[in-house]
Amino acid sequence: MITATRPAIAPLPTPAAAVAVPAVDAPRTALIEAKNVSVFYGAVEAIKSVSLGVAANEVVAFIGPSGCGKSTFLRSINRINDMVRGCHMKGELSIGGQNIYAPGVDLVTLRRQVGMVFQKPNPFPTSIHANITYGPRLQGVRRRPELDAIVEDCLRKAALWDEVKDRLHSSALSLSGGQQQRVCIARALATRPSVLLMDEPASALDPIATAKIEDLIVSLKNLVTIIVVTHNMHQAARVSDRTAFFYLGKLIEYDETGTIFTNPTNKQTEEYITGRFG
Amino acid sequence: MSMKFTDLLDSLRGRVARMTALVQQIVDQSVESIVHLDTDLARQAVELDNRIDEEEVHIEKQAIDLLARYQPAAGDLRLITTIIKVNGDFERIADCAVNIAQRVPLLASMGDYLVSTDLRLMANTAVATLRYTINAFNLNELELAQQVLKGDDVLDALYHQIITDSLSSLENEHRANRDLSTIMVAKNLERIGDHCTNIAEDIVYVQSGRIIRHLHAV
Repeated sequence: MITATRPAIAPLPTPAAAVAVPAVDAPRTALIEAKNVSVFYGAVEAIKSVSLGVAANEVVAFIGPSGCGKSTFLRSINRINDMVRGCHMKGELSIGGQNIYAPGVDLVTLRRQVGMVFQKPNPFPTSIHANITYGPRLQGVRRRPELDAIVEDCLRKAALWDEVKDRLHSSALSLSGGQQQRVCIARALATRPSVLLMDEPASALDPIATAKIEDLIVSLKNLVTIIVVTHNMHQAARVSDRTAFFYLGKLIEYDETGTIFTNPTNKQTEEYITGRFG
Repeated sequence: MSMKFTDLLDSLRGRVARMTALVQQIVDQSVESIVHLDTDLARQAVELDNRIDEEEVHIEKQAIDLLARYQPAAGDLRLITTIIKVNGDFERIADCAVNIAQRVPLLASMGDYLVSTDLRLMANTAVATLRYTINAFNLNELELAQQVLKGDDVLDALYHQIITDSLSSLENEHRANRDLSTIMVAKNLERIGDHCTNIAEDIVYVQSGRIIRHLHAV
């Protein structure tokens, strides 16, 4: 690990009027806090007044049947929903005490702080090295030794370094699905996010690659706060500290994962996790 | 989770219910055999234990198979883990019944053995407590679990009374042999109460998720 010697990444210039979101190198104490968040696709209310908090350095799993709104809520945390025509939200969603929907928030800075990994591995059609350095280059890092250090650090954190260190300049698309997904995680880590959103990160992977991603989630929580959407309830039980159950756009239950999976309070939660509906 | 899982879980519950019926039968037989010094009935009780042992192993395998294949959660998880635990308690209750039945030939050969009032009361209480336990488990009735704890208290009190009464007889060899058997029978009846209490506490866990062991209350 080369974390101690890693050079600081220059912050991306933000417009003068921008509301600063917490710096990526700030102490990992930031909380994600949603207060009465509703998300609409046109007139359809996909998320209905959800309030929840996520502590720093914990892994939270969002579970629920398809269409329950868990991915919509996840995508509202880095405002990717803004790109969906007709999508708008109500309520307040803050990271580190800053409302990320306040006027003037710089979305580039926000998305650097809140990384995202998707269901299907989506490495850029370039080399492994170039995938990882893409974000830092955008942030102005140019010196080769710095970039190399970032690549090694992120690939180690993504538990991929030993597998690819001899072919960093090969195409990322030549890797297996599980390796590609870890490249995407390494790429997300390269901008030093404080939050990592994962939307079914292992659903397209085989069991061994899935186990590696799950191990990675657990080990990465020392570095970032992770929210993972999953249809695999056993995966939620294995990797998360707390679990939120969504149904029909509502947050039905949110509690310690051990409690949710052994003694949930809500009958709908019980029926869902025991496979009796959903 | 598929319908297959719920079918298998129902099947497991049915198997536990059948095993509890056998346990009730073996305790009834052993208690009856000691009260009436009926050696035939005592032998039947001892023979019945083999079936209960086989059932215990089948239930454990079936429960572990469900855990391994379906990774159940919440109420299903509590039920299956509890079945694994109470399965062992029910089997140990049957062993206590065998221990009691095995005393019958010796006591019958003494010619002058009479079951004391306290031991008879213990026997009736053990049978009733077991019945409450089995009904509480199979019917999910928490109120019956409360009765189990009361029954166990009665068994404990009677057991200590029998021990106290028997201590004075140890100088007389014939009476010592007789009373030692009485103590052994009483001890096994008392153990039946303990196992019933364990099961009652597990029933509370299945129903509510609360672990009340060591709290001495339902």
